[in-house]
Amino acid sequence: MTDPALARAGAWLAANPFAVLLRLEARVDEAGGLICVLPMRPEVIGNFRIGAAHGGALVMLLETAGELELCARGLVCTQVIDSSVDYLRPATGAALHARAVLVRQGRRVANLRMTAWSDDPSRPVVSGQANYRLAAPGGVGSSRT
Amino acid sequence: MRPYQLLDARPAARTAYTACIPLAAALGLVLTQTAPRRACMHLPWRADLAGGPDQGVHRGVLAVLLDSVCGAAVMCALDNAQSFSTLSLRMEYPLPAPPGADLIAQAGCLDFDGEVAYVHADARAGEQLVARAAGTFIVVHGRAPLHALEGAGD
Repeated sequence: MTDPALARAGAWLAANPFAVLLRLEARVDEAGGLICVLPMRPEVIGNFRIGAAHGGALVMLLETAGELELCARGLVCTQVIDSSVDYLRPATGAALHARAVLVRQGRRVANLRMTAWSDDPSRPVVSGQANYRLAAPGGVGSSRT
Repeated sequence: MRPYQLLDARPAARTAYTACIPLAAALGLVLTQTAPRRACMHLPWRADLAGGPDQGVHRGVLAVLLDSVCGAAVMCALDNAQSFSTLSLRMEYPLPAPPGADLIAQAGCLDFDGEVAYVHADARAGEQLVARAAGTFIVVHGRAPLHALEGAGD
C-alpha cells in the first residue's frame, strides 16, 4: 500500500461524520494491506453484558472497509447497493480490524468480501459481502454514502 | 406480562430498553411502539450522523437503526425476556436518506421457532423508503437478557 493510497483512505474517513463519530481508522498491516479499525469504545457497544459491538456498527465497519479498499485503488464508490453480514463470534475486545478483498470489479459495480476480527485473524467475528456502485470512469459521480 | 405488552404499557420501559443498548442510546434511537412480533423506532435527525456535507444520515446509521428495531421485534415475539444475538443481517439501500429528515423504522418478526427468529424491517423518511433489512437472530442460552422486562410484581 502506498502512502498516497493510505492518505486517500484517511481523508475519505475524515470527511464522513459518522465514521468520525465511530473513530474508524485506516491502517496498513505488516503485509502492506489496508485495514479498517473500529476502536471498541463504550459508545459502540450493543450488548453491554459481554462488551460486544452493536450489529449495525459491524455492518458499518465491513461496508467501510470495502469502500476504503476501493478508495485506495483510486475508484469512486457512489453508493452501497446492498450488503450481507454473518455474525460468527462475539465481537469483543479492544478493537476490531476489518479487511476487504475485491471479488469482481465491473464497469458499474464492484463486489467485495470482508472479514473482521478482534485479536486473531484466523477467528473472524463477522464476515460479509457487498455490492458497491462505481462512478462512471472519466467522470466524478456525486457520492452518497 | 409478555415483553411486548410491558413495553407497550410503559413508556419508561421503552426508554429503558434503548438505554441498555449503548450505541442505540448514543444515536438517539427511540422505541415508540410495540405489538406482538412488531416494533417501531424513531431516529430524530442529527447533523453528526450525516454521510457528508448536504447529505442525510449515513447508511451505517440505518444499519444500527434497523438492527436495533429488528431486535426489538424479536423481543416482542418472546414470552419472556431472553438474550439473543444477530445471526445475519442483509441491508438494501435503494434511496439516500434526505438531509434533515427524521426517520421511522418498523420491524416484524415473521417466524420464530423458539431458537431462530426471522425479521424484516424498513426505514422511511416520511413516505420515502430509504433502507430495508432482513435479519435472523438466535436465542442465547445461559446469558442474561439486556433488560429483564419483568412485569409481574412491579
